[in-house]
Order: sequence, then structure tokens, then C-alpha cells
Amino acid sequence: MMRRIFIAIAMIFCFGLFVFNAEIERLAVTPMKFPVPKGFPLPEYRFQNNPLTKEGFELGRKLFYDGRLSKDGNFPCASCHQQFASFSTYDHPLSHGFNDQFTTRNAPALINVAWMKELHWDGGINHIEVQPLSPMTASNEMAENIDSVLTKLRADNSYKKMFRAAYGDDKINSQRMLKALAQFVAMLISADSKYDKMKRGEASFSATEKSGYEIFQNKCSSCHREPLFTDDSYRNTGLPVNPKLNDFGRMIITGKSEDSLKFKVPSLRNVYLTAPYGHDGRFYSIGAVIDHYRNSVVDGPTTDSLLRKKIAINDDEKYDLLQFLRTLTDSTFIKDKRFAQPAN
Amino acid sequence: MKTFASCLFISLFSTGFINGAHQGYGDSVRVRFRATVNGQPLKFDSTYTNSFGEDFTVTAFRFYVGHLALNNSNNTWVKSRTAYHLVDAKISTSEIIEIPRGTKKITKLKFQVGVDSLDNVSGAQDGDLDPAHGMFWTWNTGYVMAKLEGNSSFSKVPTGSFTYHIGGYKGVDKAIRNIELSISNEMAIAILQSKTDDLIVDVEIGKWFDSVHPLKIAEKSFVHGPGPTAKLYADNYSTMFSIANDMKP
Repeated sequence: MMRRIFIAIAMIFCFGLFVFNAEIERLAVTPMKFPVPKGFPLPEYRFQNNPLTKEGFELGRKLFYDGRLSKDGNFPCASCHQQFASFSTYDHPLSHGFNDQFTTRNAPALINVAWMKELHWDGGINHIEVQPLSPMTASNEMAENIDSVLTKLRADNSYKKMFRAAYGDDKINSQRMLKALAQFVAMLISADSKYDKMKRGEASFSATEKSGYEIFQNKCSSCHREPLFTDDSYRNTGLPVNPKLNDFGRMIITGKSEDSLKFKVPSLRNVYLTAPYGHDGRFYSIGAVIDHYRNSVVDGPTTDSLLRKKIAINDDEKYDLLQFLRTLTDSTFIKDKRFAQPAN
Repeated sequence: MKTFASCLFISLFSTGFINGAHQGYGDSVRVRFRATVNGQPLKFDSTYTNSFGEDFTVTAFRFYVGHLALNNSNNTWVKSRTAYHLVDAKISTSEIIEIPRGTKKITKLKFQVGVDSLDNVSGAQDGDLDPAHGMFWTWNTGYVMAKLEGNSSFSKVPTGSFTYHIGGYKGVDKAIRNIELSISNEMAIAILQSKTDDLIVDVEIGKWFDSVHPLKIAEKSFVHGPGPTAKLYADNYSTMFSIANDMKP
């Protein structure tokens, strides 16, 4: 018994999972628990200096859906990260931004972001709290500047109330805004698909799904590693560069030629909700992605060694694989009212 | 043993709160940074010439001073209370270092230009590190440690501007530079006896173009990210500081 208590106490302190916090006690806030799904590793983001609270989360949610974070009011975070599409952009290869502009990349699904070491297709962002600054200030996305956003928020009494509720006074600054957004985005946890239910013994796979799962484990899971379905690494999957975009991925960040054309391995959770696929959305179906791995991987100097010889998948296997990938859809998540646009 | 382990965790956490407490120092020295070009105080409406004969004006000049400290008579370093100070040539500010009462001698000033690696990877910050100050790369996380912007007829970009945004906190790209300046006896005495207690550090912008490396505006009109070029400018501007011979504001 003592041993269990000790382990529990040690876990709370070691992992910083925010139970004991003097600040929370001082403020009249409602602490929230960060639920690590069974079988998941510990998250990368552990809410250090940002204790998770109901008030902080709700503030983050309001900000996420607020067009005032963009220059013309039309581009809230949610314009490219739609809940029904697992917080990716439905049916758009490249995101749209301010003044009818395209971005150069496909909006990634915002799921299980708290487990990512770095963010963006090129890994340019090293911390979940500072990520929103990138789309907010990019001239082809939200096209705003930080001071201007804060001025708009300060003029709104409902924000004053919410900042006070979350932080104890109504000071509105970038740090508070960003920490609240991080609370909302980190809480977008998806772990209730048929696959998860099967793992928990609450559902069972059909013969086809079972076969697809085996094929997946043999041919896909070294990069799309369970349970997050990504190993969070950067790889060149043999996609030729689009000469109109000239996007060389990770190399833009590191400046190293060995990182040319490498992009972050995306999670396959909710993959049936996040079409189109690839960093520039060039594939309109999952079948087309599989066909690329079967037939058209370009063997360039930085192409991933696991893909150099392509992946042998026959038509029957492809069918089973697709049936398995369907089991990764988490319909609870996309209907979760906590993550929907707030009423006010 | 078990109890000891949990106590240890608590004490580690507690030190964070105590750190902010301050011991009762009585005296202080105000450190001010004064931008100059070719030895004269910077004027934003003036046109200057660098050592290559290139004309230029300055429209923005800012840099981070970190871990500012003074060496006192006991040969100990007395640190500024704030870890970072954003120096902006458009805004007159100073950093106050509190020194023990009755300090008879100050001999050296040290600081770094830039922001520690840890503070580049720790999420949303406030105060002088607030990203709203425009000293932050939003697409490739990290602080711009020093920034010089202006116009020149030698610039290769269509708008005629030059924009040097220098930073980098990782491995070989690290652009943090440590500075240590000696304070002469006469100046030390003057500072400690004066009523204003000002220690002025002159910051010579001309060094950006020509010091350790020759860097012509015509050859390099912008730097917008960490890497080998940014480090050349960091080497150059690490030589731009000197203790002023006067105490005028």
C-alpha cells in the first residue's frame, strides 16, 4: 500500500501532471486532468508552467474559433482545422489564407499534438505554445500581427472575463493567449477508434481487418508506429518536388542537404477523414497513396531506405489494408462537443 | 528512504519560488546601451557610410542582452535581477544592477548577446522575451538575438533595404556571443561617486559590416535565419561594445 502511494506521489511530481499546484489553489480555477490513453506513452507536452484548467481550456477554445486572430476576420484556426475532418481541412490539397492566397502545404490533422516533439511538416516549431504565431503572422495565412490581435481581444469584455477567470486578472498578453490555445489543442486527443476498442477488448476485427492489420504491421508500422501511428520522424517518401511549390521540407529548417525533401511522418489516425494526403495534398485517396508506395517512389539521394525498393503490396493486400485503415476512424472525437465551436 | 525521495521532489520545486527573493542590497549601477555610428550617437534620419564606402541609413536596431553582471571589489559577479533585457535604439531604457552597499570598486562588465538555448525551447514567454516584440522567428522557432535594418543604395533587394536578423540556438548554428568589458579605474570611481550611477556602453553599428569579417551590403543584403552567415554577423557585432568615456545619457 505504502509503495503504491509512493509511486503515485512520485508519478505526480516526475511527470508534472499538474495535480499539485499552488497557483491553482490560489486562483478560483477548476483543474483538469490530462487523460493519457491506455497504451500511449507519456506526452511530450506536460503543461509545465501552464496548469491545465477548465477556464484555460475554454479560453483556448474560444480563441481557436475566433476570426479576429486573422487580419480580415475570416481565418480563425478552425478555418483550416475543421473538427469533422479531424481538425484538418476537408477536401483542400493546400490551405487557403488571407486575400485568396494558397499556402504551400496541406493542413495537418490536429490530433494527439501533445505527443509531438516538433510541429509542422518540416518540424520548424519546437513547442506547442508558440505554434499559433506561425499561421497568425504568415502573410498567406491569417496575415495578422500579435499586437493587433491583442488589441482586438482587449476591446472585448467577454475576453477580459475569460482571461480573469483563467489567470486571476484581466491582463491580456501573448503568453496567456498562447498558453490557453495550447491547452485546447493539447486536449484534442483521439484514441477511441475501432482499433482502440479492439485493443481494449471492446470490439473485434473482421477477418479482412485482421488481415489488413497484419499487412500494416509488416509493411507500414516502422514509420507509422503504433499507438500514435507515427514515429514523429522526417522522411523522404520518394515524392518528386512540385516545381511550382519548390518545397524541400525539413531542409528549409536545418539547412542540411541530407534533409532535402524530408517531411514529418503524419499519423494515420482518422486517415479516412483527412483527405487529401501528402504534405502538399497531391493524393486524393488513400488508395492513391498506397499505389505511390507500390509503383512510383522516386529513388533520390535522400529517399528513405525503407522505400527505395518500393513496397510490395498486391491488390488483395491493398483491399485488406484499406479495411484496416478504416478502423482508425474515431467518430467519438469528431462529434465531441467539448471541441466544437463555443456558443457565444 | 521513501519519504526522503518525495521530500526531495518538493524541495526542488520550492527553490523555484524562492529564487525571486532578493537580498537587501543598497546601491545600484545603471547600465545603458548607447548606439553609435562611426563614433557618433545614432540618428535615424542620418545617412552614414561604412568602411567599404557604402551609404546606409538605420531604421531599426535591437538586440538581447542576457545575464548582465558587474565584477565588484570582492572579485565576485553581481548579476542583474532580470535575465534578459531587450535593447532597442528607438527606446531609451537602462538595466539596473544592484550592488552591495559600499562597493568601492567595479572592474568588469559582462553579458551575452542573445537568448539561452533553453529559453528558445520553452514555449510562450513574456516580458522582454514576449514574441510580440518582433524578435522571434515564428516559422522556425527561435529568438532573433540581434537585428539591424536600414536602407542603402548598394542593397540588392528591390526595396533598397537591408535586413539582418541574426540568431540560432542549436549546435553549430549557435549565435550567442559572450562579451566582457574592462572598466577603467577612473571610470569606476566616477560612476560610483556620481549621483546618476550611469555606466554607458557604446554600441558601434559600423562593426556589423566590417570587423572580424568584411560583410558588404552589396554582397549580403539580408539574413533571415540561423546558419553560417548569421554567425559571421554575430562574430562582427560581438566587437561592437565598449565602455564609454563619458557619463552623458
